[in-house]
Amino acid sequence: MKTLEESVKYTIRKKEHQISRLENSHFNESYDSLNKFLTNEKGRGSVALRIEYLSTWYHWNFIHNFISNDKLHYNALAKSNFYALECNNWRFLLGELVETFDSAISLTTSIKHLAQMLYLGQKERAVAYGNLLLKMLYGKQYDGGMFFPTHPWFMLELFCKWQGKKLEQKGTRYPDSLGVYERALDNWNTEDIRLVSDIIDDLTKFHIAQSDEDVTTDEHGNEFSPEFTKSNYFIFPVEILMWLSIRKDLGLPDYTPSPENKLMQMEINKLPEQSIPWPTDELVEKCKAKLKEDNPGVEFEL
Amino acid sequence: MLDKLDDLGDAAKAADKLEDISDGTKLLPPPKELGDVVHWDGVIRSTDEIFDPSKYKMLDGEKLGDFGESVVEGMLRKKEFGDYDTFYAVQNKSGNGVDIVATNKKGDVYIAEVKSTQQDKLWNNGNPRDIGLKGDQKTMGGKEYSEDRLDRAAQGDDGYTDGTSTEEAIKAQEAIENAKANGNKIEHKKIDVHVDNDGNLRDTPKVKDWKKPPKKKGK
Repeated sequence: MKTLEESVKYTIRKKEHQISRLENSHFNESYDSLNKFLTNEKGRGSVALRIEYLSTWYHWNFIHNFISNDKLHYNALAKSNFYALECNNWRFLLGELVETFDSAISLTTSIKHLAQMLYLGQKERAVAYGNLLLKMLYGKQYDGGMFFPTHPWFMLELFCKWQGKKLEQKGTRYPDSLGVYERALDNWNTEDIRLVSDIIDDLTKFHIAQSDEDVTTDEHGNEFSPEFTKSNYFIFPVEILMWLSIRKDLGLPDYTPSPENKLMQMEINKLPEQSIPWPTDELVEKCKAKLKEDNPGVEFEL
Repeated sequence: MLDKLDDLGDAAKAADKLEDISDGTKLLPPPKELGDVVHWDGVIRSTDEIFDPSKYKMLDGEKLGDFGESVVEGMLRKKEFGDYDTFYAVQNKSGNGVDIVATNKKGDVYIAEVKSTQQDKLWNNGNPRDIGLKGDQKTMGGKEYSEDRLDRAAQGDDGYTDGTSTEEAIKAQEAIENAKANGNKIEHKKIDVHVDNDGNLRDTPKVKDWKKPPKKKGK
Protein backbone atom coordinates (compact mmCIF):
# COMPACT_ATOMS: atom_id res chain seq x y z
CA MET A 1 0.00 0.00 0.00
CA LYS A 2 1.17 3.51 -0.67
CA THR A 3 -0.32 5.13 2.41
CA LEU A 4 -1.90 4.27 5.74
CA GLU A 5 -5.20 5.68 4.49
CA GLU A 6 -5.13 3.20 1.63
CA SER A 7 -4.44 0.36 4.07
CA VAL A 8 -7.37 1.41 6.23
CA LYS A 9 -9.78 1.64 3.30
CA TYR A 10 -8.69 -1.70 1.95
CA THR A 11 -8.99 -3.39 5.34
CA ILE A 12 -12.52 -2.05 5.91
CA ARG A 13 -13.66 -3.33 2.54
CA LYS A 14 -11.98 -6.69 2.87
CA LYS A 15 -13.21 -7.50 6.38
CA GLU A 16 -16.76 -6.65 5.34
CA HIS A 17 -16.40 -8.94 2.35
CA GLN A 18 -14.96 -11.83 4.35
CA ILE A 19 -17.42 -11.61 7.23
CA SER A 20 -20.48 -11.25 5.02
CA ARG A 21 -19.48 -13.94 2.53
CA LEU A 22 -17.66 -16.57 4.52
CA GLU A 23 -19.58 -16.98 7.79
CA ASN A 24 -20.99 -20.28 6.66
CA SER A 25 -17.75 -21.89 5.51
CA HIS A 26 -15.56 -20.54 8.30
CA PHE A 27 -17.91 -20.49 11.28
CA ASN A 28 -21.03 -22.64 10.86
CA GLU A 29 -19.48 -25.45 8.85
CA SER A 30 -16.42 -25.48 11.08
CA TYR A 31 -18.39 -26.21 14.23
CA ASP A 32 -20.47 -28.66 12.22
CA SER A 33 -17.30 -30.50 11.15
CA LEU A 34 -16.06 -30.77 14.74
CA ASN A 35 -19.40 -32.24 15.79
CA LYS A 36 -19.25 -34.66 12.88
CA PHE A 37 -15.80 -35.81 13.98
CA LEU A 38 -17.32 -36.76 17.34
CA THR A 39 -19.87 -38.95 15.57
CA ASN A 40 -17.30 -40.42 13.16
CA GLU A 41 -18.82 -38.67 10.15
CA LYS A 42 -15.65 -36.65 9.52
CA GLY A 43 -12.05 -37.78 9.64
CA ARG A 44 -9.35 -36.50 11.98
CA GLY A 45 -7.53 -34.84 9.07
CA SER A 46 -10.01 -32.09 8.46
CA VAL A 47 -10.57 -31.23 12.15
CA ALA A 48 -7.45 -29.08 12.39
CA LEU A 49 -8.30 -27.28 9.18
CA ARG A 50 -11.68 -26.33 10.62
CA ILE A 51 -10.12 -25.19 13.88
CA GLU A 52 -7.82 -23.01 11.76
CA TYR A 53 -10.86 -21.51 10.01
CA LEU A 54 -12.32 -20.64 13.40
CA SER A 55 -9.08 -18.87 14.29
CA THR A 56 -9.32 -16.91 11.07
CA TRP A 57 -12.98 -16.10 11.63
CA TYR A 58 -12.35 -14.55 15.05
CA HIS A 59 -9.38 -12.63 13.73
CA TRP A 60 -11.49 -11.09 10.98
CA ASN A 61 -14.03 -10.07 13.61
CA PHE A 62 -11.40 -8.51 15.85
CA ILE A 63 -10.07 -6.37 13.02
CA HIS A 64 -13.53 -5.58 11.64
CA ASN A 65 -14.86 -4.46 15.03
CA PHE A 66 -11.97 -2.09 15.41
CA ILE A 67 -11.77 -0.66 11.94
CA SER A 68 -15.50 -0.33 11.29
CA ASN A 69 -16.96 0.13 14.77
CA ASP A 70 -14.02 1.53 16.72
CA LYS A 71 -14.30 -1.26 19.29
CA LEU A 72 -11.48 -3.43 20.58
CA HIS A 73 -12.85 -6.89 21.33
CA TYR A 74 -9.72 -8.46 22.73
CA ASN A 75 -11.66 -11.61 23.53
CA ALA A 76 -12.16 -12.21 19.81
CA LEU A 77 -8.40 -12.04 19.27
CA ALA A 78 -7.88 -14.32 22.27
CA LYS A 79 -10.21 -16.85 20.63
CA SER A 80 -8.27 -16.55 17.41
CA ASN A 81 -5.07 -17.30 19.31
CA PHE A 82 -6.71 -20.20 21.14
CA TYR A 83 -7.92 -21.90 17.95
CA ALA A 84 -4.58 -21.31 16.22
CA LEU A 85 -2.69 -22.93 19.07
CA GLU A 86 -5.09 -25.87 19.20
CA CYS A 87 -4.88 -26.28 15.43
CA ASN A 88 -1.12 -26.68 15.50
CA ASN A 89 -1.38 -28.75 18.66
CA TRP A 90 -3.68 -31.17 16.83
CA ARG A 91 -1.56 -31.25 13.73
CA PHE A 92 1.65 -31.81 15.67
CA LEU A 93 0.10 -34.83 17.35
CA LEU A 94 -1.17 -36.19 14.03
CA GLY A 95 2.34 -35.74 12.70
CA GLU A 96 3.58 -38.03 15.46
CA LEU A 97 0.96 -40.63 14.56
CA VAL A 98 1.22 -40.50 10.76
CA GLU A 99 4.52 -40.17 8.95
CA THR A 100 3.00 -38.38 5.96
CA PHE A 101 1.17 -35.80 8.04
CA ASP A 102 3.28 -32.64 7.95
CA SER A 103 0.67 -29.88 8.07
CA ALA A 104 0.79 -26.79 10.24
CA ILE A 105 -0.49 -23.26 10.02
CA SER A 106 2.22 -21.54 7.99
CA LEU A 107 5.18 -20.27 9.98
CA THR A 108 4.49 -16.77 8.64
CA THR A 109 1.05 -16.84 10.23
CA SER A 110 1.86 -18.90 13.32
CA ILE A 111 4.59 -16.54 14.44
CA LYS A 112 2.01 -13.75 14.32
CA HIS A 113 -0.29 -15.74 16.60
CA LEU A 114 2.63 -15.99 19.00
CA ALA A 115 3.02 -12.21 18.80
CA GLN A 116 -0.69 -11.79 19.48
CA MET A 117 -0.41 -13.94 22.60
CA LEU A 118 2.30 -11.60 23.84
CA TYR A 119 0.23 -8.56 22.87
CA LEU A 120 -2.67 -9.89 24.97
CA GLY A 121 -0.33 -10.65 27.88
CA GLN A 122 -0.70 -14.43 27.51
CA LYS A 123 2.93 -14.95 28.38
CA GLU A 124 2.98 -18.58 29.50
CA ARG A 125 1.06 -19.73 26.42
CA ALA A 126 3.36 -17.67 24.25
CA VAL A 127 6.46 -19.32 25.65
CA ALA A 128 5.02 -22.81 25.20
CA TYR A 129 3.76 -22.01 21.71
CA GLY A 130 7.05 -20.43 20.68
CA ASN A 131 8.90 -23.55 21.72
CA LEU A 132 6.50 -25.68 19.67
CA LEU A 133 7.09 -23.45 16.65
CA LEU A 134 10.85 -23.89 17.04
CA LYS A 135 10.38 -27.67 17.11
CA MET A 136 8.33 -27.44 13.94
CA LEU A 137 10.92 -25.16 12.32
CA TYR A 138 13.46 -27.97 12.42
CA GLY A 139 10.83 -30.68 11.93
CA LYS A 140 8.84 -31.86 8.94
CA GLN A 141 6.16 -29.20 9.45
CA TYR A 142 8.26 -26.17 8.49
CA ASP A 143 11.29 -28.05 7.19
CA GLY A 144 13.69 -25.17 7.82
CA GLY A 145 11.32 -22.39 6.77
CA MET A 146 11.74 -20.11 3.78
CA PHE A 147 14.16 -17.31 2.83
CA PHE A 148 11.24 -14.94 2.28
CA PRO A 149 9.40 -13.22 3.89
CA THR A 150 11.94 -11.96 6.38
CA HIS A 151 9.70 -10.70 9.20
CA PRO A 152 9.01 -14.21 10.62
CA TRP A 153 12.77 -14.57 11.16
CA PHE A 154 12.90 -11.25 12.94
CA MET A 155 10.08 -12.42 15.19
CA LEU A 156 11.70 -15.80 15.85
CA GLU A 157 14.93 -13.99 16.70
CA LEU A 158 13.06 -11.73 19.12
CA PHE A 159 11.46 -14.73 20.81
CA CYS A 160 14.81 -16.46 21.16
CA LYS A 161 16.59 -13.38 22.47
CA TRP A 162 13.81 -12.86 25.00
CA GLN A 163 14.04 -16.49 26.07
CA GLY A 164 17.85 -16.44 26.21
CA LYS A 165 18.18 -18.88 23.31
CA LYS A 166 20.27 -18.79 20.17
CA LEU A 167 18.35 -19.33 16.95
CA GLU A 168 20.27 -22.07 15.16
CA GLN A 169 20.52 -21.15 11.47
CA LYS A 170 21.97 -24.46 10.35
CA GLY A 171 19.29 -26.61 8.78
CA THR A 172 17.07 -23.61 8.02
CA ARG A 173 16.61 -21.20 5.17
CA TYR A 174 17.55 -18.18 7.23
CA PRO A 175 17.86 -15.17 4.90
CA ASP A 176 21.27 -13.66 4.15
CA SER A 177 19.98 -10.34 5.45
CA LEU A 178 17.06 -9.29 7.63
CA GLY A 179 17.14 -5.83 6.07
CA VAL A 180 15.21 -3.22 8.02
CA TYR A 181 14.85 -5.59 10.97
CA GLU A 182 18.56 -5.85 11.68
CA ARG A 183 18.73 -2.49 13.43
CA ALA A 184 15.80 -3.47 15.63
CA LEU A 185 17.46 -6.74 16.59
CA ASP A 186 20.77 -5.02 17.32
CA ASN A 187 18.94 -2.70 19.71
CA TRP A 188 16.14 -4.98 20.87
CA ASN A 189 16.69 -4.24 24.58
CA THR A 190 18.04 -0.71 24.39
CA GLU A 191 16.93 1.80 26.99
CA ASP A 192 17.31 4.64 24.48
CA ILE A 193 13.65 5.35 23.83
CA ARG A 194 14.39 7.88 21.10
CA LEU A 195 16.30 5.22 19.20
CA VAL A 196 13.39 2.79 19.65
CA SER A 197 11.01 5.41 18.25
CA ASP A 198 13.26 6.03 15.22
CA ILE A 199 13.53 2.34 14.50
CA ILE A 200 9.79 1.83 14.84
CA ASP A 201 9.17 4.70 12.42
CA ASP A 202 11.31 2.85 9.87
CA LEU A 203 9.58 -0.45 10.58
CA THR A 204 6.19 1.23 10.21
CA LYS A 205 7.04 2.71 6.82
CA PHE A 206 8.28 -0.68 5.73
CA HIS A 207 5.15 -2.39 7.04
CA ILE A 208 2.78 -0.10 5.12
CA ALA A 209 4.79 -0.25 1.91
CA GLN A 210 5.02 -4.05 2.10
CA SER A 211 1.32 -4.66 2.76
CA ASP A 212 -0.59 -5.97 -0.23
CA GLU A 213 -2.71 -9.02 -0.95
CA ASP A 214 -1.99 -8.81 -4.65
CA VAL A 215 1.08 -10.37 -6.17
CA THR A 216 3.05 -9.08 -9.10
CA THR A 217 3.72 -11.49 -11.93
CA ASP A 218 6.17 -11.89 -14.77
CA GLU A 219 5.45 -13.12 -18.27
CA HIS A 220 5.93 -16.75 -17.25
CA GLY A 221 3.34 -16.66 -14.48
CA ASN A 222 5.90 -16.46 -11.68
CA GLU A 223 4.48 -14.60 -8.70
CA PHE A 224 6.18 -12.18 -6.34
CA SER A 225 4.63 -11.38 -2.96
CA PRO A 226 5.43 -8.56 -0.58
CA GLU A 227 6.16 -9.21 3.13
CA PHE A 228 2.60 -8.84 4.44
CA THR A 229 0.00 -10.53 2.29
CA LYS A 230 -2.99 -10.69 4.63
CA SER A 231 -5.23 -7.71 5.30
CA ASN A 232 -5.62 -8.84 8.92
CA TYR A 233 -2.24 -7.26 9.44
CA PHE A 234 -2.26 -4.17 7.24
CA ILE A 235 -3.16 -1.88 10.15
CA PHE A 236 -2.04 -4.26 12.91
CA PRO A 237 1.77 -4.56 12.74
CA VAL A 238 2.21 -7.45 15.15
CA GLU A 239 5.92 -7.76 14.48
CA ILE A 240 6.36 -4.31 16.06
CA LEU A 241 3.86 -5.07 18.82
CA MET A 242 5.74 -8.27 19.62
CA TRP A 243 8.90 -6.27 20.17
CA LEU A 244 7.04 -3.77 22.35
CA SER A 245 5.41 -6.59 24.36
CA ILE A 246 8.77 -8.15 25.05
CA ARG A 247 10.21 -4.81 26.05
CA LYS A 248 7.27 -4.31 28.40
CA ASP A 249 7.81 -7.75 29.93
CA LEU A 250 11.46 -6.86 30.54
CA GLY A 251 10.48 -3.60 32.19
CA LEU A 252 12.25 -1.47 29.58
CA PRO A 253 11.19 2.19 29.15
CA ASP A 254 7.79 2.81 27.57
CA TYR A 255 7.51 3.66 23.89
CA THR A 256 5.56 6.68 22.71
CA PRO A 257 4.83 6.96 18.98
CA SER A 258 6.34 9.94 17.19
CA PRO A 259 3.84 12.61 16.05
CA GLU A 260 4.28 11.47 12.44
CA ASN A 261 3.61 7.81 13.16
CA LYS A 262 -0.15 7.57 12.64
CA LEU A 263 -0.17 3.77 12.44
CA MET A 264 1.33 3.31 15.88
CA GLN A 265 -0.96 5.97 17.30
CA MET A 266 -4.01 3.87 16.47
CA GLU A 267 -5.74 2.46 19.54
CA ILE A 268 -5.33 -1.11 18.29
CA ASN A 269 -1.56 -0.62 18.35
CA LYS A 270 -1.36 0.21 22.03
CA LEU A 271 -0.69 -2.75 24.27
CA PRO A 272 -3.75 -3.69 26.37
CA GLU A 273 -3.28 -2.62 29.98
CA GLN A 274 -4.43 -5.94 31.39
CA SER A 275 -3.77 -9.45 30.21
CA ILE A 276 -6.68 -11.15 28.48
CA PRO A 277 -7.78 -14.55 29.84
CA TRP A 278 -7.13 -17.66 27.76
CA PRO A 279 -10.46 -18.93 26.40
CA THR A 280 -11.73 -22.49 26.29
CA ASP A 281 -14.01 -24.39 23.95
CA GLU A 282 -15.80 -27.48 25.18
CA LEU A 283 -16.22 -28.82 21.65
CA VAL A 284 -12.50 -28.65 20.94
CA GLU A 285 -11.81 -30.37 24.26
CA LYS A 286 -14.23 -33.15 23.33
CA CYS A 287 -12.52 -33.60 19.97
CA LYS A 288 -9.11 -33.77 21.65
CA ALA A 289 -10.43 -36.33 24.14
CA LYS A 290 -11.78 -38.43 21.28
CA LEU A 291 -8.50 -38.31 19.37
CA LYS A 292 -6.71 -39.50 22.51
CA GLU A 293 -9.29 -42.21 23.08
CA ASP A 294 -8.92 -43.37 19.46
CA ASN A 295 -5.13 -43.48 19.89
CA PRO A 296 -4.37 -44.72 23.40
CA GLY A 297 -1.13 -43.52 24.91
CA VAL A 298 -0.73 -40.34 22.85
CA GLU A 299 -0.45 -36.91 24.46
CA PHE A 300 -0.85 -33.42 23.06
CA GLU A 301 2.25 -31.29 23.13
CA LEU A 302 0.34 -28.32 24.63
CA MET B 1 -5.27 -37.99 -36.11
CA LEU B 2 -8.69 -37.54 -37.66
CA ASP B 3 -9.41 -41.27 -37.40
CA LYS B 4 -9.05 -41.04 -33.68
CA LEU B 5 -11.43 -38.15 -33.54
CA ASP B 6 -14.24 -39.61 -35.58
CA ASP B 7 -16.39 -40.86 -32.76
CA LEU B 8 -16.07 -37.67 -30.87
CA GLY B 9 -16.70 -35.64 -33.96
CA ASP B 10 -19.98 -37.40 -34.56
CA ALA B 11 -21.10 -36.81 -31.05
CA ALA B 12 -20.19 -33.18 -31.21
CA LYS B 13 -21.79 -32.59 -34.61
CA ALA B 14 -24.95 -34.17 -33.35
CA ALA B 15 -24.95 -31.72 -30.55
CA ASP B 16 -24.37 -28.80 -32.92
CA LYS B 17 -21.29 -27.91 -30.98
CA LEU B 18 -18.82 -28.26 -33.82
CA GLU B 19 -18.37 -26.07 -36.82
CA ASP B 20 -15.49 -27.78 -38.50
CA ILE B 21 -13.61 -30.72 -37.11
CA SER B 22 -11.46 -31.29 -40.17
CA ASP B 23 -8.46 -29.25 -39.11
CA GLY B 24 -8.96 -29.35 -35.41
CA THR B 25 -8.72 -25.62 -35.02
CA LYS B 26 -11.93 -24.07 -36.26
CA LEU B 27 -14.15 -24.92 -33.38
CA LEU B 28 -16.95 -22.91 -31.94
CA PRO B 29 -16.64 -22.33 -28.22
CA PRO B 30 -17.07 -25.91 -27.05
CA PRO B 31 -17.96 -27.46 -23.75
CA LYS B 32 -14.93 -27.78 -21.50
CA GLU B 33 -15.82 -31.38 -20.77
CA LEU B 34 -17.69 -34.06 -22.59
CA GLY B 35 -18.38 -36.95 -20.32
CA ASP B 36 -15.69 -38.04 -17.99
CA VAL B 37 -12.37 -37.65 -19.69
CA VAL B 38 -12.80 -35.89 -22.99
CA HIS B 39 -11.42 -32.40 -23.25
CA TRP B 40 -11.82 -29.95 -25.98
CA ASP B 41 -9.55 -26.99 -25.92
CA GLY B 42 -8.90 -26.48 -29.58
CA VAL B 43 -8.79 -30.10 -30.48
CA ILE B 44 -10.74 -32.97 -29.08
CA ARG B 45 -8.85 -34.97 -26.48
CA SER B 46 -9.10 -38.67 -26.89
CA THR B 47 -10.36 -41.25 -24.48
CA ASP B 48 -7.34 -43.46 -25.23
CA GLU B 49 -5.80 -45.26 -22.29
CA ILE B 50 -2.36 -43.92 -23.16
CA PHE B 51 -1.42 -40.26 -23.26
CA ASP B 52 -0.73 -39.27 -26.85
CA PRO B 53 0.91 -35.85 -27.24
CA SER B 54 0.12 -35.77 -30.97
CA LYS B 55 -3.54 -35.21 -30.15
CA TYR B 56 -3.02 -31.89 -28.45
CA LYS B 57 -3.10 -28.64 -30.38
CA MET B 58 -3.82 -25.08 -29.35
CA LEU B 59 -6.95 -23.41 -30.54
CA ASP B 60 -6.62 -20.06 -32.30
CA GLY B 61 -6.63 -17.43 -29.62
CA GLU B 62 -6.12 -19.90 -26.80
CA LYS B 63 -3.64 -18.74 -24.19
CA LEU B 64 -0.46 -20.77 -24.04
CA GLY B 65 -0.68 -21.14 -20.26
CA ASP B 66 -4.27 -22.39 -20.40
CA PHE B 67 -3.36 -24.86 -23.11
CA GLY B 68 -0.42 -26.17 -21.05
CA GLU B 69 -2.63 -26.72 -18.02
CA SER B 70 -5.24 -28.51 -20.07
CA VAL B 71 -2.55 -30.78 -21.54
CA VAL B 72 -1.34 -31.68 -18.04
CA GLU B 73 -4.89 -32.28 -16.88
CA GLY B 74 -5.44 -34.60 -19.83
CA MET B 75 -2.22 -36.41 -18.98
CA LEU B 76 -3.06 -36.85 -15.30
CA ARG B 77 -6.44 -38.32 -16.16
CA LYS B 78 -4.68 -41.27 -17.76
CA LYS B 79 -4.12 -44.38 -15.73
CA GLU B 80 -0.38 -44.32 -16.37
CA PHE B 81 -0.16 -40.89 -14.70
CA GLY B 82 -2.32 -41.69 -11.68
CA ASP B 83 -5.92 -41.69 -12.93
CA TYR B 84 -6.72 -38.32 -11.37
CA ASP B 85 -10.37 -37.47 -11.84
CA THR B 86 -11.10 -34.45 -9.66
CA PHE B 87 -9.47 -31.13 -10.48
CA TYR B 88 -9.90 -28.10 -8.26
CA ALA B 89 -10.03 -24.72 -9.98
CA VAL B 90 -8.11 -22.35 -7.73
CA GLN B 91 -7.02 -19.36 -9.75
CA ASN B 92 -7.05 -15.67 -8.96
CA LYS B 93 -8.45 -12.87 -11.07
CA SER B 94 -5.26 -12.75 -13.13
CA GLY B 95 -5.49 -16.44 -13.94
CA ASN B 96 -2.61 -17.26 -11.62
CA GLY B 97 -2.65 -19.41 -8.52
CA VAL B 98 -2.25 -23.13 -8.12
CA ASP B 99 -2.22 -24.55 -11.63
CA ILE B 100 -3.13 -28.13 -10.79
CA VAL B 101 -4.61 -29.63 -7.63
CA ALA B 102 -6.05 -33.04 -8.38
CA THR B 103 -7.20 -36.08 -6.49
CA ASN B 104 -7.97 -39.61 -7.56
CA LYS B 105 -10.30 -42.23 -6.16
CA LYS B 106 -7.57 -43.64 -3.91
CA GLY B 107 -7.30 -40.25 -2.21
CA ASP B 108 -3.86 -39.36 -3.58
CA VAL B 109 -3.19 -35.69 -4.30
CA TYR B 110 -1.21 -34.24 -7.19
CA ILE B 111 -0.17 -30.58 -7.13
CA ALA B 112 1.66 -29.01 -10.03
CA GLU B 113 3.02 -25.76 -11.35
CA VAL B 114 2.78 -25.85 -15.14
CA LYS B 115 5.20 -23.83 -17.25
CA SER B 116 4.50 -23.62 -20.97
CA THR B 117 6.72 -22.29 -23.71
CA GLN B 118 6.90 -22.02 -27.49
CA GLN B 119 10.54 -20.97 -27.47
CA ASP B 120 12.76 -23.01 -29.80
CA LYS B 121 15.81 -22.33 -27.65
CA LEU B 122 14.13 -23.97 -24.65
CA TRP B 123 13.00 -26.91 -26.77
CA ASN B 124 16.63 -27.16 -27.85
CA ASN B 125 16.07 -29.60 -30.73
CA GLY B 126 14.41 -32.17 -28.54
CA ASN B 127 16.77 -31.87 -25.58
CA PRO B 128 14.56 -29.49 -23.63
CA ARG B 129 16.05 -26.99 -21.24
CA ASP B 130 14.38 -26.50 -17.89
CA ILE B 131 11.89 -23.61 -17.72
CA GLY B 132 13.14 -22.07 -14.52
CA LEU B 133 10.96 -20.99 -11.63
CA LYS B 134 11.28 -17.55 -10.08
CA GLY B 135 9.68 -15.60 -7.27
CA ASP B 136 7.38 -17.29 -4.77
CA GLN B 137 7.19 -20.54 -6.74
CA LYS B 138 10.95 -20.86 -6.42
CA THR B 139 11.57 -19.59 -2.89
CA MET B 140 8.61 -21.39 -1.32
CA GLY B 141 8.76 -24.71 -3.14
CA GLY B 142 5.71 -26.75 -4.04
CA LYS B 143 4.34 -27.56 -0.60
CA GLU B 144 4.51 -24.08 0.88
CA TYR B 145 3.51 -22.29 -2.30
CA SER B 146 0.42 -24.40 -2.90
CA GLU B 147 -0.62 -24.32 0.75
CA ASP B 148 -0.19 -20.55 0.84
CA ARG B 149 -2.25 -19.97 -2.31
CA LEU B 150 -4.97 -22.39 -1.22
CA ASP B 151 -5.07 -20.56 2.11
CA ARG B 152 -5.37 -17.19 0.36
CA ALA B 153 -8.15 -18.51 -1.85
CA ALA B 154 -9.98 -20.18 1.05
CA GLN B 155 -9.95 -16.87 2.92
CA GLY B 156 -11.12 -14.85 -0.05
CA ASP B 157 -7.97 -12.78 -0.11
CA ASP B 158 -7.69 -10.43 -3.02
CA GLY B 159 -7.46 -12.00 -6.38
CA TYR B 160 -9.60 -14.84 -5.05
CA THR B 161 -12.85 -12.99 -4.36
CA ASP B 162 -15.05 -14.65 -6.96
CA GLY B 163 -16.39 -17.19 -4.48
CA THR B 164 -15.76 -20.17 -6.72
CA SER B 165 -12.06 -20.25 -5.98
CA THR B 166 -12.83 -20.05 -2.27
CA GLU B 167 -15.19 -23.02 -2.40
CA GLU B 168 -12.77 -25.01 -4.52
CA ALA B 169 -9.85 -24.16 -2.26
CA ILE B 170 -11.73 -25.31 0.84
CA LYS B 171 -12.49 -28.62 -0.85
CA ALA B 172 -8.87 -28.95 -1.96
CA GLN B 173 -7.57 -28.17 1.54
CA GLU B 174 -9.86 -30.82 3.02
CA ALA B 175 -8.70 -33.35 0.44
CA ILE B 176 -5.05 -32.62 1.20
CA GLU B 177 -5.48 -32.82 4.98
CA ASN B 178 -7.36 -36.11 4.69
CA ALA B 179 -4.77 -37.50 2.29
CA LYS B 180 -2.00 -36.67 4.74
CA ALA B 181 -3.89 -38.09 7.71
CA ASN B 182 -4.66 -41.28 5.83
CA GLY B 183 -1.11 -41.79 4.57
CA ASN B 184 -1.97 -41.19 0.91
CA LYS B 185 0.54 -40.04 -1.66
CA ILE B 186 0.93 -36.27 -2.11
CA GLU B 187 3.13 -35.09 -4.94
CA HIS B 188 4.37 -31.58 -5.75
CA LYS B 189 5.65 -31.30 -9.31
CA LYS B 190 6.86 -28.69 -11.76
CA ILE B 191 5.84 -29.59 -15.29
CA ASP B 192 7.24 -28.09 -18.49
CA VAL B 193 5.03 -28.08 -21.57
CA HIS B 194 6.75 -27.41 -24.90
CA VAL B 195 4.60 -26.28 -27.80
CA ASP B 196 5.74 -25.56 -31.36
CA ASN B 197 4.98 -22.40 -33.29
CA ASP B 198 1.95 -24.03 -34.94
CA GLY B 199 0.46 -24.80 -31.55
CA ASN B 200 1.24 -28.52 -31.52
CA LEU B 201 2.38 -30.14 -28.32
CA ARG B 202 5.96 -31.17 -28.98
CA ASP B 203 6.20 -34.08 -26.58
CA THR B 204 4.91 -35.51 -23.32
CA PRO B 205 5.31 -32.79 -20.68
CA LYS B 206 8.48 -32.97 -18.59
CA VAL B 207 7.80 -33.65 -14.92
CA LYS B 208 10.21 -32.69 -12.13
CA ASP B 209 9.98 -32.52 -8.35
CA TRP B 210 9.00 -29.05 -7.12
CA LYS B 211 11.34 -28.61 -4.18
CA LYS B 212 12.31 -25.81 -1.85
CA PRO B 213 15.79 -24.28 -2.21
CA PRO B 214 18.51 -26.02 -0.17
CA LYS B 215 18.93 -25.27 3.53
CA LYS B 216 21.86 -23.47 5.10
CA LYS B 217 24.80 -25.66 6.03
CA GLY B 218 26.98 -23.28 7.99
CA LYS B 219 26.56 -21.52 11.34
